[in-house]
Amino acid sequence: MNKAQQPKWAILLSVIPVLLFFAITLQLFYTDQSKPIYTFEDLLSILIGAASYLIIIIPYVIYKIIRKNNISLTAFIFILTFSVLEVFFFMHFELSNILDNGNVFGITLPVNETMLFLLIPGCFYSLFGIVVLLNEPDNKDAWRSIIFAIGIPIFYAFIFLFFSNFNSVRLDFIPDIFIPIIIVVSVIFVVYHILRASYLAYYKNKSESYITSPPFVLFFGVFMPFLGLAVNNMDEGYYFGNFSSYWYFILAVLNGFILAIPFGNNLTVRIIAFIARSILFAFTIYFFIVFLPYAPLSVVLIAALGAGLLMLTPILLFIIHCQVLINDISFLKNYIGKPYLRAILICCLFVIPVTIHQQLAANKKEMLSAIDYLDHPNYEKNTTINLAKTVNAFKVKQVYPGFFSGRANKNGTPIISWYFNTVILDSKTISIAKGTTLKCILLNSNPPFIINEPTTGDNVKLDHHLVTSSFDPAAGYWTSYVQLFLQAPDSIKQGRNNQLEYYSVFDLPTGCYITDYYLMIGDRKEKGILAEKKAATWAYDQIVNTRKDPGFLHYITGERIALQVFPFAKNEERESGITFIHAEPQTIILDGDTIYLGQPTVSPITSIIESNNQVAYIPESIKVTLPKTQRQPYYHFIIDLSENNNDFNFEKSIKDFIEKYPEGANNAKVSLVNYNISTFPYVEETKEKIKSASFKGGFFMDRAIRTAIYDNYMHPDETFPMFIVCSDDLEKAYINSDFSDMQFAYPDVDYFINLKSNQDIYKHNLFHFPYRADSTSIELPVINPVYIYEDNKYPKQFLSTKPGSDIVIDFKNYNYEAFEPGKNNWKNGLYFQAENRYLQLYPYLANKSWDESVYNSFTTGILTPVTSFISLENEGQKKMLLEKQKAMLEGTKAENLGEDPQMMSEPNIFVILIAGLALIGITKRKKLFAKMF
Amino acid sequence: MKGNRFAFIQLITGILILVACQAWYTQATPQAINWLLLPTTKLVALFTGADYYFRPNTGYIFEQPHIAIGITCSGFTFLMICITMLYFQFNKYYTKWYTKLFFLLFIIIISYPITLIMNCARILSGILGQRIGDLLLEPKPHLILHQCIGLLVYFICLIIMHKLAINYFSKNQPNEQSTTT
Repeated sequence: MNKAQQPKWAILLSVIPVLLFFAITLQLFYTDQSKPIYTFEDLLSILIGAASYLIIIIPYVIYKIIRKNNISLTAFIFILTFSVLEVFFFMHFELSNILDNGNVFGITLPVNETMLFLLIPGCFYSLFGIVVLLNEPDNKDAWRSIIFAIGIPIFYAFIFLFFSNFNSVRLDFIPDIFIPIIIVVSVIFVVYHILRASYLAYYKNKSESYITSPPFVLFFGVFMPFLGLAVNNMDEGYYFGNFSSYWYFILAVLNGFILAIPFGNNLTVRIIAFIARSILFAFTIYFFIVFLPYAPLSVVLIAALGAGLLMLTPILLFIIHCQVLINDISFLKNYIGKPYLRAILICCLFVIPVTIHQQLAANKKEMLSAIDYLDHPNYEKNTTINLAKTVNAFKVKQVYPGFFSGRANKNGTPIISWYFNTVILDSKTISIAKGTTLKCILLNSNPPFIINEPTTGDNVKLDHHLVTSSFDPAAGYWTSYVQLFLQAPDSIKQGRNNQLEYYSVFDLPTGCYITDYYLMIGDRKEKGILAEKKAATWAYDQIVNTRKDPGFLHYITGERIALQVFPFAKNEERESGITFIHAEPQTIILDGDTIYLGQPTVSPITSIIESNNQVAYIPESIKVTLPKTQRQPYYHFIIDLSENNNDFNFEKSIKDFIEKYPEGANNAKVSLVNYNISTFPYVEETKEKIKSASFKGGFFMDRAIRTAIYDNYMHPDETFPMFIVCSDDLEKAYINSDFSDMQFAYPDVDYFINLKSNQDIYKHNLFHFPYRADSTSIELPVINPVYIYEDNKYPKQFLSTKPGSDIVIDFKNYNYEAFEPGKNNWKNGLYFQAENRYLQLYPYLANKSWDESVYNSFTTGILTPVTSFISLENEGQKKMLLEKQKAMLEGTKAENLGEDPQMMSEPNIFVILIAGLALIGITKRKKLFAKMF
Repeated sequence: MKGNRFAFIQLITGILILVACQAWYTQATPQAINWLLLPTTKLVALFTGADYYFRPNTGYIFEQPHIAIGITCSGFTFLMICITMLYFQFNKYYTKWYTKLFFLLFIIIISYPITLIMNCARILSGILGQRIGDLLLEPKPHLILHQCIGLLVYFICLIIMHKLAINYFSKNQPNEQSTTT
């Protein structure tokens, strides 16, 4: 009985893979209802095919197992026909393009590769079965098949060369499907002859010794893998994945040599060789799995200058490796028991995967630390980041969409990238903006595009607005309804698909909060949904890509709001609106228009209003009565130590600057800034530090300034830092939009100075477009006087002397978790503003109270930095948003709400004992029965 | 007869020690069992890349995945079963009391690292199982699945160890056995 005909192989190589194939296709069929209808028809036909196959093959195989029969030739032909047809239809329908990266049971997989990986073993197995049944090895020769296997690709190569200059229009009479069918039939024919030649050669005991002979192994184990890796890494395309790490080359060469060297009959040497080969077997298996789906393609590509041979190498190497291990085991079993050899093989096989897993887990730790370093800093602690480790960690976080995918980004490594993203990172995504920011800080690449730059020329503008305000004397605050009429220009030259987006930002005055939003969609007034911000941003991006109608209102930084409306056709006018609540009349500047909220008919507030004992609202009428002072500046030199600034002579520049402007030289400080920050006083002893500083990475100016502002705010005295940024390339510095969110803590001056190496100084506004220099000036910025607020309840704070009311917060005590929304919604808004300011000072606490903040925003209906107003066109979009929001809230609920962690308890001892007894009972049942009866 | 009595006494003593150990274990605090908890936690952290902290009444808490490694997760039960199984199954190959004692010491020493590895493997498999459960069913603690995975991992390990030990003793019976028989 031939082993290939045993039904167990059919189960392993065809039935189980097709069951998985069926499950995956079924899942794809039921998910993502937005796919085109023809996709469902194609998927349905594939599903019906797979179901029919399974209905026939499963009872057949079970029947054969019960009867202890072999698989017949007809069954092999049936398996072959099904497998080939499914592969053909899957590729022909180009379903992977439509299904994109298939989300299968929550796991993103490269669709084509996965499907081929499941179907190709069936093709090979059935072809091999046919070869075995049709060829009696005793009276057949392998050379005929070798001629076919080589001749057919060469024949096609000639045909291709001949027809490459041929006018294809003349071949129009041939149906489109004809050529793919010819290719498929030819591939089957070639593979059949390759298998036939191998089988006949192997059967006659020629191949076994030949494939393990050193020249053969060196060629397919060292030369070809090395060449393959080199060819794959030749350009940045990485068609089969990113194998640029030197470890792939080292392991490939090591593997080849260890397989090729015979190692003789010395027991110790053979055991060591066996261990090494077993460890490296994981490497061979990895490339075998990666390249198995491309096996049919490689057969076709053999015609193209033998390129296919490179793709077949991992499969050949797998066969060689198996044979070498079989030889080792048959030698070693004379000395060591088979169970030990198996144990050694299995343990060794895990060495490389476990090492990789551990390395990836360490990478995850680095990534999360880097994200924490970026997003949730603790200004009290001078945390640092390790450049090499973090950069290495982010190298793995790439996606490999598969060779057949048309996508440009193939920087990921097959399976490993998927494993890292799905298993290690638990499918958590890191936004492109965050990736760009980290690149900017660590590798000195360009900073992310700042979206709140002023809009220019040819874009949608605010045409006019209408305001309706009403005062509620009982609650003591105004409600203003603002209607905005937006107008697209006559000509459209930019935007997504020739459709424009309205984008504008405005600063929310102190004591003014947003409670509602709407967008007119056709004649319908679509009220905005108050949703969690990340979910709403995701939904907005999804919808903009499908050209539907969303309106989007959200915080971008501090107390700055962005309004986005999409789409606008040429010359189109659309209406949108916002509802504000405010205690006093306020003005908002939106898109160049001044919007007046409320009227000065109601008498002004003359007392301090508090909310939740955390915040006090200081109306302007009271603020102007507070004591006034002008604090003295001291220079805080922010030195750019990024890798492109190494021509800057800081010592001389600072010295010259101080000579020219000696006012702030006393108590001056210096921060050496690249991706890490080191701050110290500018005195004689520390000048050496500046001299010896090395230039590396990017310029994290944002963190340096925020830390200094925080430090000054926490320790209020009669001085404040004036920032002198020593850099020749400020455009490459990383600034998170601007510093307007910290303006409340830095009321003395609006500018920082950029000191260039040629001694020129430029003033930049900290709070509006800080990258842009206001003008070349020889004067230092004007220092604003400030009001001093000090009482027993709140720590000492300096308030801006600019017109308008202000707030003071209790920034020393964290009681923000204990908030209960009150009846007065304006006071709730006041509390949220205080919390927002508090979290600007302590960003590392933001995660802790995140879902509380979301919940409070939902309860009160007030827009906060963690929520957004979004108007959506249809119910489907709303459902999509709510589902995303639910997933996000559930995702972090366990950690944030202090839910008990899941205890990873051992099984109970009695359960183990009962299970153990049951196991013994089952295995020893015959003996037990014999004793009992 | 004498041999049987000795074996009986040995068995009773073993059971008593086991019961005493279990009694101690049920009363133990995380600090008392830190010799098992800390290495296990470090191993789990190594393979998950997650940060952890110690909570006195619970044990070690991981933020992401949100799990706790407390007293009941220490692997103590496995350690006891492992020692008991190996000792009572194979001590018959040693007849002298001091060789039995050395054998017991040897088993205790090798059982410790095996317990750490298998407990770590169980916890990692449990985390993976939980994630698969969340994907296929609904996000909630899948306690039965977790217990089944734990049982499976433990049994695979115990069976492999048992088979390897049988294989060893069948080929390399200690000399003292052959001299006494």
